[in-house]
Amino acid sequence: MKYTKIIYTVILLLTVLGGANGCTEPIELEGDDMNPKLVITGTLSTEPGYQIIEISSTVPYFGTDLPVNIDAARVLLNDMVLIRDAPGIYTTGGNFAAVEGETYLLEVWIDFDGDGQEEYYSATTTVPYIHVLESLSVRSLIPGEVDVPFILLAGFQDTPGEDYYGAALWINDDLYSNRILRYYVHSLNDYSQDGSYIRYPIPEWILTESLVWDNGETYDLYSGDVLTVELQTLSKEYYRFLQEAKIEKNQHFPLFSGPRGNVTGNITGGALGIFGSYAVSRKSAILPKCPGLPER
Amino acid sequence: MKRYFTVSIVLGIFLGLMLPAKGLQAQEKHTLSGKVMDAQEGEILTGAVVRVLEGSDAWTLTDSRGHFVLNLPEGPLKLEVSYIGYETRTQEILLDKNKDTLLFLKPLSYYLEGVTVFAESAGTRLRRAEMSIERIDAEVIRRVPTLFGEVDLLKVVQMLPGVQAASEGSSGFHVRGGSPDQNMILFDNATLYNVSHMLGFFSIFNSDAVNDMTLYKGDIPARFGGRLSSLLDVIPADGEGRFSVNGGIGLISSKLAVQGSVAGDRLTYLAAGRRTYADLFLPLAKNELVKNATIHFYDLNGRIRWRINDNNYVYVTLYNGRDKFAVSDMGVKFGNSVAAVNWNHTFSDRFFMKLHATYTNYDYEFKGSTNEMEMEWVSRIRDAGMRLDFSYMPAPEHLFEFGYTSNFQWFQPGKAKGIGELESGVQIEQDITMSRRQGFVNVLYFSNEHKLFNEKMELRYGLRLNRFDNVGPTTFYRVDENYNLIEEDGQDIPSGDFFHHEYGLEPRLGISYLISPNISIKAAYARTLQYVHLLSFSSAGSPMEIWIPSSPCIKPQSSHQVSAGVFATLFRKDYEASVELFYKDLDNVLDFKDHPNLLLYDKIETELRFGTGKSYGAEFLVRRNKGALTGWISYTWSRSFRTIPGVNNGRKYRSPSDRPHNINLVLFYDISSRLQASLNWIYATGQPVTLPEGRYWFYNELIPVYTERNSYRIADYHRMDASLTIKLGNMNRRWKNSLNISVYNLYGRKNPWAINFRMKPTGEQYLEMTYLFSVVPSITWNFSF
Repeated sequence: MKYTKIIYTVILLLTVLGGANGCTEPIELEGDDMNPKLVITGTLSTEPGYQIIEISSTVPYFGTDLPVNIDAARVLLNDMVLIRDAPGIYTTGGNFAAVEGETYLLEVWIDFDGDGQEEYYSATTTVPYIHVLESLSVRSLIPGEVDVPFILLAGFQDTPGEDYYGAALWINDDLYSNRILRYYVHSLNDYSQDGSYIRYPIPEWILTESLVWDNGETYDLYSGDVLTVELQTLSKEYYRFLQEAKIEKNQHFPLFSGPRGNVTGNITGGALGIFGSYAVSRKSAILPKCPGLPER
Repeated sequence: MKRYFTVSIVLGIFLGLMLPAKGLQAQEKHTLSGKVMDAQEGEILTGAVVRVLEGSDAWTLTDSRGHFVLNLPEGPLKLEVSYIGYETRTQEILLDKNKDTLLFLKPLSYYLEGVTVFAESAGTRLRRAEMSIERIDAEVIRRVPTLFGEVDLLKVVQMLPGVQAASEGSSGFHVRGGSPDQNMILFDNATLYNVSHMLGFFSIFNSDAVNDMTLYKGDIPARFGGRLSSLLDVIPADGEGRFSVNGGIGLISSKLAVQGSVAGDRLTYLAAGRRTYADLFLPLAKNELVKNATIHFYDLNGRIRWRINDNNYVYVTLYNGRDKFAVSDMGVKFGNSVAAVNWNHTFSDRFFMKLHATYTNYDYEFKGSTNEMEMEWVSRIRDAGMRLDFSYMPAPEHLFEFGYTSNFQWFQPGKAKGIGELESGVQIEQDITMSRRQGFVNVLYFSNEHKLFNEKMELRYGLRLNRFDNVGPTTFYRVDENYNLIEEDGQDIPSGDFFHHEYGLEPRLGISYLISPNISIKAAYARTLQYVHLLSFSSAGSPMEIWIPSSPCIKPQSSHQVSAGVFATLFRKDYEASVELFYKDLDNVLDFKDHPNLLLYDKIETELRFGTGKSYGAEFLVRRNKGALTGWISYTWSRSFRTIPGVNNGRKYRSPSDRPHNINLVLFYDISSRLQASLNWIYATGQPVTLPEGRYWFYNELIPVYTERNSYRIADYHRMDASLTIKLGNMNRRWKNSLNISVYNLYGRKNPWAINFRMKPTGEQYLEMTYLFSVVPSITWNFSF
């Protein structure tokens, strides 16, 4: 992950330098509208709670309409009927926890094409094992100092073989990783760290006085704020989906970016979306007093 | 070992051919050498016939530098020099010792002086069986308007018919629908893998160190190979006899070159260097990261020509260049080092040999440190090559060329290492090393240029026989037909093990027919094979490019190309016009699966996809070679498609280089003896892009849905550049200086460099383009003495 940080920094540097003379402006270019496609998304977590499956339809990319949920005829999870909670939202109930190592089958029946016949869609996921987040510390990026910018160091024991990790950040009680671009994904398999005790900075969150937030606003940090990291061990298909979705939502530049492409899902029957699972572990740390951060 | 046995036999045959040639020189003779040139313009004439009419029946042709050498008996002789489009000249010479002479031929019609647009004369281009070739000399390169005042050879290449820039400001280029990695770039016969400075805004070629360059767009001579689309052969400049210095001081870079000779003219030298200082302006930037950054490059060129005697010339070329970007404790450095030694030997007036030995190194390194760890990431490509070329002319109608080339390629795609200490005091060391990959290419070739029907027809045919080997040590990953790994951990190959090989045949064929003194028709066929592949989707000359050789799961890319055309000189050879048609059929072309993992990932075979491709088109060119106003205008219509299982659901899609309409206008105008103006205008159909047609919610984001790759196009590209060169001071003095004022993108066209998707607060999506340049003026002061 340290390499990833360096790579991102250098890419940022090259991009900034490369685009130093560049500007942006909106352009008029629109694609055609595609026929609507069914979308099924949902995840299972090892943490007890509502596990949600959402069913919706795509809308034209360049239109003003936002995707809306649609109801299915039946939604089953390992033969358990899921409860319709709202249009297109199906849940397990409030105290369901996915079991590590168990494989779950999601089945959906819906007449999406309106021909009077229900189509069948399904997907499976095997819940990964929990990797306990054993330590979380706040470290300055400036050698020898305690000041912003900070970075979070997560410590946990990796297991040999392929493991896929995600991480979400809460600041006090706010989920900062409420968008995929502020969520962290990474895999560990054949690097030298595989099976080692891992301790590395999470490059996604460079903590300064104010962080990027929604709609051009900022999220201000203060000394004493509680930072909680949720380390998620992801199922392989969910990791891939998250990673590709993140690539699609990031900026593209000719220097580094590959061709655009669809995010790979695992729903059979021709629907888009993902049915994945993850195992959860949490740890918190406190932002220290320092010259660069105000106090509340 | 069979290969070495074969090579030994072939070398033995070559040596056998040499011996009788040496034997002919046993009797007392003198050497008559010289150069044949155009009397009006001073340009060299390649392929002129130099024949002895009395005193001997010897004859020869001038080589690509206009040189000829004859070994003749002592005494008076009458020499005849002839060349199509020129008056035949006879001259009497008393050969009482070794002599060197200059012979000028007059064009059949006389015209005014002006800039020579192309390094070859119109007559030469008309009669050659070679087609799809563009030769440009350094003077043209220097006169084209510049970006940031820095003259760039590759920006001129991008203005030739059939060639398009890979992206705004980039050094990369597409030739006839091919991808940038399908262009072989040679610098004095050394293979280059990355020719970019500063993210592609500049190339590594310093115009002071370049004599000329030739771009072969498909009909590549049999002595060359290794890439599917084109060969760009860059010839370094030789130093001239008189000691001189020339230099230039620009806004972001300066350069200096010195040249001269020692021991008479037996040894000439040229040394050139340039350095940018763009980072001087960075403190003016608003961005803190940029303000404290380091960004510059330098390059150094050296060239020695040693005339041992009239039959032996040795050329040495050296190059070293490096870029550096750094901020705080992190930075990246990258660059090329090149060494080339060429020995040209004349066995007789009909038999020549050239031996080339080359070495190229390209590497990049990242270095950085944090509180816990110091890190380093390096990647390196090395290429050591040898080429032995023989030319043999048994009769004026035949020019046989044959030889052997060998290249060993080392690829270290990536090696990252971190050393540090944890809070607990525990020392840690981490390594990520992609397996080294090595390729060994050996080629035997043969070709003949055969003139028929009183030289009205020229037939050129040739063949390359290739053997490619993968050599250990490496870890080799085998994949099945679905690109899944067969063995998760791969197979370790020991050092020196030749564990896989491929054979390949590359026939080449060309024919030209001179219908009239002013019109010729030509046709050519070329098969090309490519054993190295670029793993990068950058179109902008990224320093982090990774090359790998073919392997059992990465087949060589191949191409068949047929082309045909009509070539004419008009208005007493003031103008040239040509129309060329081409069709290319590609196999095993490489693309990536959606969202590939190319970063320090060793099992790269799982990320690649292979398929077929097609390109076809027509190129129209009119150029004016003489007069105060010279230049060219070209129009190219071309299409390029790929069909690759696993990409775009296996359906045919436009390749990134599919830009049907392309116009290039390049003009040079001598306003007066002190004022020279240049102007160019480029137009190209917009680049293909993939746009989403649907969207859905996931994780509070709208995820795009695509239906077809590259089915849309961004706005058309067009740009006009202009420059004015003002010669200052007394032009008759040795000290000369001039001012060059260039304006890049004269009318401030905002050409898209990148397209990104944005969303309004209402949820409505729109597209936003990033453009790099508006109007970019620059000024450079050049001097020489």
